[in-house]
Amino acid sequence: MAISDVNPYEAPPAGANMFARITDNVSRIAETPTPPRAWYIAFGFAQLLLVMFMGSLGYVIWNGIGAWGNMMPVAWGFPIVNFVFWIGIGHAGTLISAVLFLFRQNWRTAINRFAEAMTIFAVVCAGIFPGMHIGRPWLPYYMFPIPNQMNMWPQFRSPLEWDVFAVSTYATVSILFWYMGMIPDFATFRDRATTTVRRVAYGIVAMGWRGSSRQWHVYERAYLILAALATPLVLSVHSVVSFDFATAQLPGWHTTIFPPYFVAGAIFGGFAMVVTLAVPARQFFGLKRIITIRHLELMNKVIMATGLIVGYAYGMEFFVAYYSGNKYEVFTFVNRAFGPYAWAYWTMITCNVLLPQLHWLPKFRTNPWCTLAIGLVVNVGMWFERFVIICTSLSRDFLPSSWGYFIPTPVDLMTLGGSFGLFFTLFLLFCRYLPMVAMAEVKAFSPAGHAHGDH
Amino acid sequence: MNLFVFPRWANKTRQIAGVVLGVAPIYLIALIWYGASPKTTDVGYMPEQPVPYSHALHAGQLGIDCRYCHNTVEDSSHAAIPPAQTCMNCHSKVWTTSPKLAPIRESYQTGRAVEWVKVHDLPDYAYFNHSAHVTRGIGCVSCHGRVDQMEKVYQHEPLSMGWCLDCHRNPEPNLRPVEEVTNMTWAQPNPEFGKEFREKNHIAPPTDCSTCHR
Amino acid sequence: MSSISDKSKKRLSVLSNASDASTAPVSVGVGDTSKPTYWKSLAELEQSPEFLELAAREFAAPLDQEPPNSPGRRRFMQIMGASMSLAGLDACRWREDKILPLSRRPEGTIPGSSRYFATAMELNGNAVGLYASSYDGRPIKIEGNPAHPDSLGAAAAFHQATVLGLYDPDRSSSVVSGAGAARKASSWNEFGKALGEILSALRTSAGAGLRVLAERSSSPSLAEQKRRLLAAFPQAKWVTFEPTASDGPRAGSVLAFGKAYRSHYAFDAAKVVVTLDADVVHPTFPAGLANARTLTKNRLPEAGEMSRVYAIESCVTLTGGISDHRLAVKATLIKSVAAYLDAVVSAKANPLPEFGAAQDKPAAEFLKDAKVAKFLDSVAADLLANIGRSVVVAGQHQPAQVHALVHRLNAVLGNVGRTVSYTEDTGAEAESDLAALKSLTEELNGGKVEALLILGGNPVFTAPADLAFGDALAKAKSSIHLSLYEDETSLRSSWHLPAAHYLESWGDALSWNGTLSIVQPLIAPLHGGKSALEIVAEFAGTPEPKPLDLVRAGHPELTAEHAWRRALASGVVDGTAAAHAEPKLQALGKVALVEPELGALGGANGKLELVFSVDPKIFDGRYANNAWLQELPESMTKLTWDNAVMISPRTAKELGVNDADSITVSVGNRQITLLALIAPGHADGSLRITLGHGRTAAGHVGGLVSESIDPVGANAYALRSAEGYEIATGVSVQSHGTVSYRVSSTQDIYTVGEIGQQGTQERLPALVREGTLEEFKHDPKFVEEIVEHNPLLSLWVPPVSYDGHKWGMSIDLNKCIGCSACVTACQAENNIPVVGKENVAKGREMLWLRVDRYYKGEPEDAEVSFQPIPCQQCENAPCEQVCPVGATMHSSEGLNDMVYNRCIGTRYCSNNCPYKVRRFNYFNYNLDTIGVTPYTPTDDPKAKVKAMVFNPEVTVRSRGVMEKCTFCVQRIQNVKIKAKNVKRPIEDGEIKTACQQTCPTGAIVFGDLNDGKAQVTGLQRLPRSYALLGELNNKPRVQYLARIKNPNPALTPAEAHAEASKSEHG
Repeated sequence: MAISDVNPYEAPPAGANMFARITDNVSRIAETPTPPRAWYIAFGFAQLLLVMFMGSLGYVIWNGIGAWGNMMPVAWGFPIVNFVFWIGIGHAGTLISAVLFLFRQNWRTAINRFAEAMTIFAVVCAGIFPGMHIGRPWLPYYMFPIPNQMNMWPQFRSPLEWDVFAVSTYATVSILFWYMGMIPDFATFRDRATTTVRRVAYGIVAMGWRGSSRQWHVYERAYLILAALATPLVLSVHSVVSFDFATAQLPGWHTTIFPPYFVAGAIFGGFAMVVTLAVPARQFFGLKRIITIRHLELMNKVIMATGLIVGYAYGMEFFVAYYSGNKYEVFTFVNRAFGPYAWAYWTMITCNVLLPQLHWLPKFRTNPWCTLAIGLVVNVGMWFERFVIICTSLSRDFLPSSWGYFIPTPVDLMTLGGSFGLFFTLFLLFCRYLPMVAMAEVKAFSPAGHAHGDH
Repeated sequence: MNLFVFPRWANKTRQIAGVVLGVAPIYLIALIWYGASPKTTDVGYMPEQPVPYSHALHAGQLGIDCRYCHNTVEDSSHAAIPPAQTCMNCHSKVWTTSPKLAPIRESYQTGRAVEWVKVHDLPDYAYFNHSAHVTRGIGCVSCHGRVDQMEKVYQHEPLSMGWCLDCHRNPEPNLRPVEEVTNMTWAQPNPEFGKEFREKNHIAPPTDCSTCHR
Repeated sequence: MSSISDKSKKRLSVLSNASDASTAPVSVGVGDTSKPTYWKSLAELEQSPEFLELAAREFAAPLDQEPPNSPGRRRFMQIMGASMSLAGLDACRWREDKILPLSRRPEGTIPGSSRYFATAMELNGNAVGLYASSYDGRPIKIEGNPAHPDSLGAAAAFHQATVLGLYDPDRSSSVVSGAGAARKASSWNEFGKALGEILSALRTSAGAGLRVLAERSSSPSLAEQKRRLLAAFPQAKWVTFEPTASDGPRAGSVLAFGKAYRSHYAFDAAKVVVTLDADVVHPTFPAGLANARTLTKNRLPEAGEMSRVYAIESCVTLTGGISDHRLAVKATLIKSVAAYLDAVVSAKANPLPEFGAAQDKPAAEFLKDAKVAKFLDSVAADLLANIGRSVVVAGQHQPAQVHALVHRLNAVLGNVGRTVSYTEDTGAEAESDLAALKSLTEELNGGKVEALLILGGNPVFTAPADLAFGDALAKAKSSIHLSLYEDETSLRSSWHLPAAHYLESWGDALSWNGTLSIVQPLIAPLHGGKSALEIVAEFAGTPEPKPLDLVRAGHPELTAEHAWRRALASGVVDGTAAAHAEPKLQALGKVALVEPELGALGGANGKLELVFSVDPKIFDGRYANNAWLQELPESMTKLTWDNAVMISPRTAKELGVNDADSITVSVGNRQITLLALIAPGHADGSLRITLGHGRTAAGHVGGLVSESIDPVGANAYALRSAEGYEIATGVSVQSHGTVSYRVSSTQDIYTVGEIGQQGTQERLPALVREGTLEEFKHDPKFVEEIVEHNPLLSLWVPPVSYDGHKWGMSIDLNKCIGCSACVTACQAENNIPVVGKENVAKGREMLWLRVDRYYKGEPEDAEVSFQPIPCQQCENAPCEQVCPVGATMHSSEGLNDMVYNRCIGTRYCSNNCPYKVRRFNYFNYNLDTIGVTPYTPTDDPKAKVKAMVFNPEVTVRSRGVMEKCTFCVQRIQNVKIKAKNVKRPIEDGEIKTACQQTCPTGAIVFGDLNDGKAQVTGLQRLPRSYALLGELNNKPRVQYLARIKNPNPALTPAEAHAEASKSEHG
């Protein structure tokens, strides 16, 4: 609590020097020589997980992916589950930054920056899995349209090929969006810098930002354009990812409801991750007055709404299966709910549909710790959703003779846990060295910003 | 401390970065495309052979037909390297004491094989069949070059998958009468020849994967 | 050429025989096509001289080793043919390859092309004629010999797998002297010296102390040498012991005819077939492969009428699987069944007086059961309705009286001479193998044996437990054991001699009907082994015997070169089949029926019966070190790398045994603990364990306790005693609950559960379509009406027009008996790796072709049906559309080409395959043979010997690559090229897939669907031809012919069939 002790917001805001205080308050986090102890503990833990991640991946590359539990018929196990899970997480950021920006949802400004950061890091985690899960991880460049002596091109009918482009586009735009947003704040850091190293470092990334009205003009324009570009991507990425399943012939995959259902699920999971990160962040870095209870409440409402959509999709899947009259489809869903994987299915239902309903109670959704709890629960549920879709459908398809039962190996669990290590390592570094809140934007929408409109 | 830590040229960095980022990918692709292609890596491969056998002399000046030594070319997938026996047909009479031929004589007597170095070396997963080509009128020269002029045999064509496909998609320029396959100097009489010959003999080279990969 | 050692001279001669002049290649279209001269795939390496020398040093005992450049090995290399070796990495290309041409190329050999040689393999005293393909001197594939009466072109799994055994690095490579701790590597020369002393000692006593313990053999040459040996040593005794050979047939024939006769059945002439615990179509049954063909020949509904098969048996046999009616009764009750049938039939058929009086109806408990009585009465009625057109067969392990009763039944029914014929069993011994071994053991214990020569076999492991043969063996002054491996018996013998594989040395053998075949070697003994023929000849006094000379000397009729060449080329000597005998049936007294033969169905704990059966895969245990066979899923249980005790569902419930429990089986004071599997259709109160598992000195695959490699499965011989030899009674079991490890079965890997059961039952009728002959006659189209679906429309036009060839396959479910020979054939042809027990348990087996087994009806009397599933080669292939790199593409002839070198292993194709026929290399399963990748080959000589079995025509897949059936595209390509070179069309049947070629019943037919006259086209046009999951609009190129049964109306209530096909218990 080193910082919040001296938190200027503990005192009631005095309008005039408010901007200075916002700046001071956010910049301090990056400038203070020693971050709170909590940060060190968290970072150390993240490092351990990261080492485990690298270790398990190295083991897999050396021995072959048989080190995972994948088998026939369940040829896609944890790696793809993790991939879809992380890609899903990576949705909230762009949604908050772009869509809410276009809808002029000003409350976004408090959280958009690290929501975006979270997006980038989630996409990084996600990006590792498709490359790693293939049998010959040294050959993924076959998937890229590079001219070669074989006269061979990728096969553009394959949804996996669509993924390559969808995900890479999404990653590129998200990074641009995130970085551009940070430029003015980098400049602020640069100007407040006390050492040459910081000054040079932030100077380079600030790309010579001077805050001239001309730059502000260009900045606003570019920000608007990028937002407009990013918005369709929010829908496209997870729609395309859902095609991996929807275009396949497998009962339980072969359904048209997937794209909207996946997108809703992604936003659901994404927001859950944002609150999971926001609550501790505001706690430890003393941002209580910037990321207010109102922000949390708004996000909880979004979680509830998307949670209901997801719940509706679960029900709809059953109805469509029943209504189709296709005995293979019907069996798949009965088997999901009551077969050998029932435990996974009901975990998913509990975490994604039942528990979030607690947010109907205002008392509950305005309590940071309850928010955090539900956030975690939903993350678990969303992981299980992908597990249920992939593993239960594959384990029992058309011919009973080829049915099987997937059992994960320790390496599977290490890879899953390890990916969180990568995510949190990146995120904690971000908290430490980059502007965690979009100062410039917050200022624009802070009460003072309106009180004295002519700044 | 000094407010301006960056030199004046730093203002140009963005332009410079722009150019570099724009050019780098193109350069890399070009580098891989040409640098890694068999055209660059394989063509001209000319290993030392245990016996300095000159195709230029035997096939060129003496005009011995390719099939005298590579006699399985028409009915096997491979144009077998001849046994020492074949060499000795003549060299038991001529150059009987030449030191250069010592390994041949040794092989003939002891039965130990002469270890020739393979020049045209396809990957193990590519299955090429000589008989399927020579009996359709693809000349030796099309893939092996002017062997009759080679003192030491070297790889004349890239033998890359793309190179194979070019001919399988349009074999006409490489077609010739079956009796002319070993003729190194034969040329198509008229531009229409390939087309006519192809239609006459129903030459339809497949481009299925399983044509070469099993 | 001065320094030729004697040994290499011998090897030289064998090789020259094996290689050129004196052998005659068979000219068969199939596979006998031009092949690359240089090594394709990874089989490249093992040819390099470096390796051959390495291997030689590795496998030859120090004293026995000849200089690497001595002519023997040189010749060896020449036979190996042109090849390449590796020398370091070149700068920017990959490694530099060398070409080693033959120094002198034998006449007619084209480097890189494979030729077929006819040979024969003897098992249990019966030979099956085979073709062995030789690729530059390496035997790499076994096929059946169509000209051979017991093969008719088919080969069983264990025939196919012998090539793997040939290159097994665990094979013994040197003479070993001294038993137990005193064992040390020795040499043939030393053994020669020792033998000299032993023989001189024996001569003084006229061989009084000499005993020979041999496996059953039909070889005339061996018989001749045996005669000479006994002439040289009049006091010597020759004992024959074959652990899986039953005495019942011989004794029964003696009982019925006063003499030993062999029975031959013309199933194709029979209208009604009744098997009494007899699996007549199983390759382990005498002439089983031929029976499979003749029995299924007239099971074609298109012909209008089919034969009817009744199986009365203690477990679900392959015959029971294709039967129209099954009755599950304990093996011990079969005698009463036979007596009952005799009583009922004789009463109506008024047999000839000299046949003697008929049996009385036995007062057996189980006959009071209404169902049983009704079944047997309708069987009897059916038999009587088909006088002279029926066959009754008794199981090998049934006692003499049952066989005698069956002989009588066939005589009474007038089948003899029509559907049943006899030939004199000249080779038969006077006493049973068991009795012979017993007296030998007593002699050993009595110290009467100076020298014991054991020719093959593994008596220490296979002898009944109560004989304690192993201890008795130690009492022989000197014991000499000739075998392929240093097995349990070798470890206790004072001398171990490495034996020659049947593909390594000359010999001869007779088929079940006495037809002579010459056993022709294809390669010199890899490890300098000798055949039993040679050893016996040496004992008989022939110095340095040459097998070829011994064989030729034994057959004066073949002295003429052309006759000899013809015999070798065709693989059989015409007109050598034994003449039909007409034995007189003697009056057979009332057979004594005692408990438990008069018992009721089922049985309480302690009163159970235990049937010892030969293992369908590793036989009596001799193939335990053969990984192909260990990993082959057993037909019924689909179990690999293990054996289990099979229990009927009801008995299991009564005993409180669950599926996959660990269970202790006790016979008297002997007991073993092993896996229990609940087998639907098994007889209540009956247990069954296959012999041959639990080897302790088999090798690195089958178990080698000396190197702490656990045995595979449990040893059932430990329960076997002289009295309970075939069937043990008074057996008790005790369950220990679920086993710790996952059962390594390839189907129903875990209990399917209620939902799974329902789902299976509901979809099964559509997957394996069945009907009765009546239904079929009434409406031949009923097969396609089983599944209703909307019209199948495609969004896109087909990617390719199939105007050239259009390959397709038809699989007849009426003919498939589920023997799984096709699976091993596929494995051998396509270099399919073995993954081991743990990976099978995880569901990672690599077999491209699997035979699905489904149970229908109530578990107590379930019907079984089989369905082989290769890649269906869909025209609308789901796999092709989802591969991001185009590693699986559609060919212009309609194959789903799988390009291993393009595959990056996303496994999406497998997810989208409705048939789940794709297999993935989760690990580098070929690691030990090919090194880390195909480009970094291994240097381990043992691994290189293993690699010699690879088929150079097929890429050896490495880690991380998807693979699947390609309709043997290498065979297609080679025939196509061969035909086009001479500008001729491809004839129908010229291209055979590996599975098709070895199928005993001809259930699999492959061909060109654009050829209107092709057999496959005709079959796919039949009304009972259907596409599996065709409603998905995948347009599979494989189609199945629905299974049509011919039930006895008296035994099938109208609704029975409908309801039977509904419920299934997988």
